[in-house]
Amino acid sequence: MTDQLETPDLLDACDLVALADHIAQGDISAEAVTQAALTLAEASTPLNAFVRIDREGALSAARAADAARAQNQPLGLLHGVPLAHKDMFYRAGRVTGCGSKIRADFVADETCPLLSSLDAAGAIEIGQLNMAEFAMGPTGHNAHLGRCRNPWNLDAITGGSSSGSGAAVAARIVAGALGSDTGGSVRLPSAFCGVAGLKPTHGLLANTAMMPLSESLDTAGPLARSSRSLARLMSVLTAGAQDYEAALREDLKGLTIGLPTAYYTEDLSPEIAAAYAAAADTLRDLGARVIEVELPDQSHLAAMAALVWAPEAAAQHLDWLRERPGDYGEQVRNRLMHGLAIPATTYVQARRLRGADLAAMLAGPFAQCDIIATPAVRTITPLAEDASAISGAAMDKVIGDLSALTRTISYLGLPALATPMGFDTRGLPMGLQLIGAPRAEGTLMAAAHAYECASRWLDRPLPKAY
Amino acid sequence: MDDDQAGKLDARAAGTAWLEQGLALPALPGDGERVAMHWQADLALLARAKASPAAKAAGDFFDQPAGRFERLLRA
Repeated sequence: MTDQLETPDLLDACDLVALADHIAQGDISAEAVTQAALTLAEASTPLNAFVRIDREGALSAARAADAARAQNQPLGLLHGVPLAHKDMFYRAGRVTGCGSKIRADFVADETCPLLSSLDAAGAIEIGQLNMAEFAMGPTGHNAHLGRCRNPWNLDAITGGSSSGSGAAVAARIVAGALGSDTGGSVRLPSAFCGVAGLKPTHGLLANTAMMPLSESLDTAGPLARSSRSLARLMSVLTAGAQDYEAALREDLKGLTIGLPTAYYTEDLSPEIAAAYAAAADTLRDLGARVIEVELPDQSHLAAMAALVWAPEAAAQHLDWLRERPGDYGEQVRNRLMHGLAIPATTYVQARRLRGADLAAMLAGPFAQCDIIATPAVRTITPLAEDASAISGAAMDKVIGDLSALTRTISYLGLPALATPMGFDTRGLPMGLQLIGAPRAEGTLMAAAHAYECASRWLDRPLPKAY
Repeated sequence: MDDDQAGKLDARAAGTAWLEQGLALPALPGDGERVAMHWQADLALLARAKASPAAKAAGDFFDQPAGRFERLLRA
């Protein structure tokens, strides 16, 4: 068994599945991998991705994992694999800060079932990751903790709200991470940081013992270095209800992939449009039938998503808005103000309209194709200084533009996966979004895996940015 | 004071009253305007959504079943 990581560093060279296989085969110990991940995490201060690192707990768990292997005990699918998660998943007896001042000292008395599933599969949690305050913010800024930085270019945004999850996975510190997605919060950091991320169908994963934002839209979701890693994580997170890895494939024969004729393909920056066209060619080369597909009008969906999440979030925060109004960052408080302004009648109508919109999607495009492929974002990754507005129309524009292609899908409750579709002229990743019908996660991960094998975008070496 | 300015003052006062009296919340500077601005904008957005082809095709909103979305997502 190896005690020192070989060159090239396994954490850099391997995705989660390869790393788990190396540990399971005894090529390297869980302790050595965990030690390496901790060293990288502690050296990653310029990224501001970690809010807490649990060196002692992680090493103790890693040693126990090695002892279990030495005793020929059954090994879980993630045995000895270092992970870290957005600081909103509760573990009994531990602080979960939710990116906030208000919950900075909150100690949960229960453990999130998703963390328990990862524990049971043998994963090692090395720390907790930065996030937008209360998961409200698509850029990676945080008024209390400072902004998280993009490993590809420290001046660029990571995307949010799962900012630390995107940065820590992209920086090859951990093999995977949990995030959460209410309007794009897994897919945006995945797109901007150049990793794979899945927003599952609303309700597929348990949402207990994790910070709530909007019950109608919230879902946890994994980020990792590859979609086959997402498949392994999802098999664990769904407690083995589905073997998503078994469905992976290297071609797309028999699949029909739709390219929208409107909304998702409008107002794209030239580099995004070119990368999207090239991605469509790759999907076609892999054997998919790629067709143009007319979607029901999507232009109102992002606004309807806001009319659902904002009052739900405001209701969640009402007591603190009354008792601790000065303890919110300005942008977050301004966004909660919107929720306070929405009458219950408007909220109920916006929520009920989802039935009609989802029915139209299922009867229209999803009757013609298995997957809808779109860019994840219309524009190339903004620099932090260009996305820092905290109030007024400028704030609404930044947030609206960044999440225009993801919030719509959250409103519809559908699963969607983001994976890199290239790099812009500045060397920053651009993201492809694959959208499926309800519970089509397996199809999305299989298609993304085939695309990643062909495109090799996930293999691009990370520049030494810090 | 012209009508526009007076209208803005009325809207701010209404927004502030909604926060302070309706929700028993402290209104910070700018909150009243923000609330009032959203009232009008959101009603327009909702009206547009209700006029969308998908909503129209679903029939009279009054008779649209509230649980339709859940059934479609989880069936």
